[in-house]
Amino acid sequence: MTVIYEILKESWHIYLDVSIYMLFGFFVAGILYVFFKADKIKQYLGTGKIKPVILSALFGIPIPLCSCGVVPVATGLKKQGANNGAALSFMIATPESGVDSIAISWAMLDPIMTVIRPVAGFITAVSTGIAQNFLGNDYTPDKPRIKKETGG
Amino acid sequence: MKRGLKYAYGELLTDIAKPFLIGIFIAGIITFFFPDDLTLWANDHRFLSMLVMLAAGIPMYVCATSSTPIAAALILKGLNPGAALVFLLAGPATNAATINIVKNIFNTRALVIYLSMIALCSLAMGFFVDFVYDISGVQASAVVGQASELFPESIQLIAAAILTGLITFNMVSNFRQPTGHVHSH
Repeated sequence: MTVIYEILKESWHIYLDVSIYMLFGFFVAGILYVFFKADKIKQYLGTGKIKPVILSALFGIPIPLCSCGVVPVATGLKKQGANNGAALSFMIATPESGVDSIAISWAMLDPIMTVIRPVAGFITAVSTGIAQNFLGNDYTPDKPRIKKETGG
Repeated sequence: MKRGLKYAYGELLTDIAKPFLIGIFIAGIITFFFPDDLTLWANDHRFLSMLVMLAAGIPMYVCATSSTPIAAALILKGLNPGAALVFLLAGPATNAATINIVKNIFNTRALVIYLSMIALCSLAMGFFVDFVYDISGVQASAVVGQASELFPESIQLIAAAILTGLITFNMVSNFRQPTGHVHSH
């Protein structure tokens, strides 16, 4: 019993530290939502092997979506004509960092980590996207079998 | 503007709330159970600790925000910052569900590229960040479970109360009238 109590106590302290940054993160997310519409992003991700990959990573970094929340957006991008590399790049850059996680990193980690997270996310997303555009093939299944799953 | 805020504090908050709270809870568990000093082990086994973090991060479902308290707890216990960064990169980018989705929307070849590039880049960035800390002589620091110095406790309490209220409100209203919003995971 005391173990559970101690764990909950630790969690509560963390929750206290983090709450104000979460509220701020959601606020910025709301502003971004108004200015960076997903359908606006789509028109910039046309052809090319490198440029759309970099663009979609740049768009993805500040958007605070989790790895699963990004899936419908990335799928949409691909359907609207973004190439595979750009869609993959977006799918990696978006969940790896967002304005909310940058704020929380500032609160809980140090400045080096706060800066390196979005930078590393960008590098990972761009390398993966470019690798996909050069090494991958364009074949995709005609009917994507996307399973709808529920949960947090 | 109003729509944006409604989206952020409604839909987005609903999406993030559960993994966020779970992340906080896991961080609490780590803080409580992990040995107080991982420093010696992590410094002797830097690469191994990165591999462990990679293996833990890839299938785990954590978002960028909820992985932060976990990483902070690990750094506080003495884990090398490079390994913590590996977790921060590999954790949010992938999970069992997205691996399945990449394979289905794209193809197996794309999945292989996706996973191996994430593993490669995470490890490379992990080495790089350890190197940065080494040459700068800065000790990685993290704040977990201590009152943050930036805000007085009263403000933290108010923020926590507002956040709790918003999470509860969204859960209740989602429960009462399930909208067409499909939570695709």
